[in-house]
Amino acid sequence: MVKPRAVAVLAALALVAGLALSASPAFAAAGASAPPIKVARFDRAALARATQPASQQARAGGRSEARIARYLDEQARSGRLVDRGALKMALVPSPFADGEIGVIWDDASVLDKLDVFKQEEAEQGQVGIGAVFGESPASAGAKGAVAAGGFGYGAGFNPKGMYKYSSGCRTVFFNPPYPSAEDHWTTTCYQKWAQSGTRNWIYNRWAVWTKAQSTYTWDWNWTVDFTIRSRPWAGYESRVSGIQNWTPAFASGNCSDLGNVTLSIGGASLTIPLHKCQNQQVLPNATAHSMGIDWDGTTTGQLYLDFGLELVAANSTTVPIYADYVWATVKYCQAICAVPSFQNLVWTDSGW
Amino acid sequence: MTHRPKPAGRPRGPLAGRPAWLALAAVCALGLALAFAQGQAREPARPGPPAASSGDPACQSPTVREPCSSVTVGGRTWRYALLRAGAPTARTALVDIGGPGEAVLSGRNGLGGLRAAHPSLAGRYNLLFVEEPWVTRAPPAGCQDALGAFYRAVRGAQGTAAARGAAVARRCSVGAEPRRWGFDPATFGSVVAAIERREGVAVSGFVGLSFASVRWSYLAARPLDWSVLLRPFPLGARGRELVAARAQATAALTDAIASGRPAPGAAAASGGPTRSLPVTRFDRLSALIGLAYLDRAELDRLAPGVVSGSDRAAIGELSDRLWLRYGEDHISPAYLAYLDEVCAAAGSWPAPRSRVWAVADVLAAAHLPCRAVASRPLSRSATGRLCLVTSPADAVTPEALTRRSFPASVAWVRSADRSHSSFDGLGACLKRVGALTPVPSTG
Repeated sequence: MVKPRAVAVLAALALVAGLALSASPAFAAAGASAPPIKVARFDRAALARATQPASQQARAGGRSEARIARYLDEQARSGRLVDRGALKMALVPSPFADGEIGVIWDDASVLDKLDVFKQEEAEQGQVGIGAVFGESPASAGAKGAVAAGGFGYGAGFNPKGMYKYSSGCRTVFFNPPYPSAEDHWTTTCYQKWAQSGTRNWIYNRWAVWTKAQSTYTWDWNWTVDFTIRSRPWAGYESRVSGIQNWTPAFASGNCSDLGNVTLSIGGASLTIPLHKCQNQQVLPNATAHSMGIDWDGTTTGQLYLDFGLELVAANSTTVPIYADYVWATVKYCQAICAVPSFQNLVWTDSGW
Repeated sequence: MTHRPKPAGRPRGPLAGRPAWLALAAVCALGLALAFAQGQAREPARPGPPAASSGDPACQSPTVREPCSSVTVGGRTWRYALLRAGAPTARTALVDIGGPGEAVLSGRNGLGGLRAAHPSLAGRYNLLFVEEPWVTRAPPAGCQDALGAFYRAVRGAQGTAAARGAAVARRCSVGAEPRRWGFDPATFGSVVAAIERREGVAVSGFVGLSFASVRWSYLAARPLDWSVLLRPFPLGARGRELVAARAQATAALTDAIASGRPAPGAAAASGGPTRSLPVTRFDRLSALIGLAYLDRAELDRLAPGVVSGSDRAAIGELSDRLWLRYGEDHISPAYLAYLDEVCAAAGSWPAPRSRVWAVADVLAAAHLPCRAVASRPLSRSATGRLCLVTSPADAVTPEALTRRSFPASVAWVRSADRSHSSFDGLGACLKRVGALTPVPSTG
């Protein structure tokens, strides 16, 4: 995202303006060599220590309570009614600043990893966060899935030949490294659909990313990376014998163009909504039985990613268990500046 | 636990704490920079690559999982999905999946699946879905607390339930005009007309499930070529009749399940360890009512454990879904949408008996706020061709009441499917009203 012309123009401005602008840190790093990258990981044990049932979180009107309420309300308005007793919340201190990182989830998931990186120099930089979840093997699908809600006179449409075996949502939030009254906030969900008496499954995954706005209009910040992936949960790889199809097959269209795509497997079919986006890379891997979508670009807006994956289980009594990952990177600078020219960091960890 | 001090008064900026002359110089320089930025140097602060976004800002919160656009009518924003036919056409069918209390753009209803299952309809008509207003409206102060207090009173069979119900109607503005949470006759037609203008389409057909019959009546003033109503809510029925008929139909469904053998694959009994509230008789009665909404596969899987009382997890979940409970004692505003429209559609609601709990009492209790809301007569004047699907086994919209609501002269199709969710009979009705006959393209 280096913009030499812009950097040159601003550098000339700084010279003209003299001391005042040269003292403004936002310009200091433009074109300079990249500062070091700091990386931290919270593993499963550390996260388990930081996890509490949401019912035990303080209810004195603090930020935790507001975040839990936001999560519950968001879900209710999407037609998902979540009991607070089924909610967990993990809070860890941000390793590179005064803030905190939190996760809220409402199903029988395991929060496996949280990775954070930061690269900063003179109040401009980039920060990225990634989270890995697995469906708890002991309880995968045990809750079942019940359709319909309310006393109302109406009902949804059921897919042909498939039933929803399990589903869940998780939210990751963290304070931005710039002044803001908001959190960065991403909610990622899955639905696992089964065809009775067969080996056929469809795994539907989606995620929404909403970047925190700065308190100050002269601060700039952009989302530059948003990626979701899913793959068989470590130790349960043998439960999946293959993937038959996936959608989107390739990246096309634009983000405001939301279509419906039907996946068909063994006479059953499921139509899933699909946002189509520029700057996307589709990441299917037939050998690893995994799928993902990587969005790279520069935006101040909300982002939405989704995909569907047709699975064939090892046999008709085996339940596939998947792990999900979500990753987002935000670049920022305070006061007028170009997009920080630091190279985008790619999360290359193969052990997720 | 904030990352950095939040501004209590004057915001902290990059120049804070520096001498005044420095700030002045910086302001001058900033002005110069901004002036220049209006021209060629604007690019750095507004990066070049095509920005991704979710389109219409009105569709970002709450998030949607369906195509979404919006129009403004009467100073309010209305969200909708328009699924275009394969070939360009202005012909459009308004599809209403009933409710009230459905979040039609949430993805839960699978609009694309509906379209895929009925290609003969979707190939000829654009399909229009309009979202109920409750999804994007915040409850006023005191409303959420009133809902919680009402729910607790009903659960506990407290004598205060009637007063708490009246408080819900008052604090949450249930039944106010224009309606805050649900559609109303005056606004619904205006919203549809605004969408037609914006999208360049013409609504000539109507497909509605269940409560959609009431929305269909809202459109009485506008011409429609044809309408299909699936398991329609009985227009003109009184609250007492609805409660009695639903209680009777629920008993019939429960008896049928109790006398049947457990289906293969029926869910094993389990507890509900993560539920905030204990599973009580109130939940069991509520769950029995909730069974009517399940599709055939879910009914086979869950009903035996619910009817026998052994599957406490399913009982708790079905009860919560019926009452739209989340968190601890939060009730979704979807319930307000239900009250907004149902209270007005049928007056004369019965009171539950105190402390003697049966299915009819739970149904009566759910409508206690309606006793503070005026009903208004619904139009039953049909324009164009009309076909109805009913089922003798449907426990949500009892067939006998529905049949009484519509003239015998309209086309009727009978379905054996007992699930209220079923679209069985839609294809037959579409043929009866001539919706599938070739029509010259209107461009």
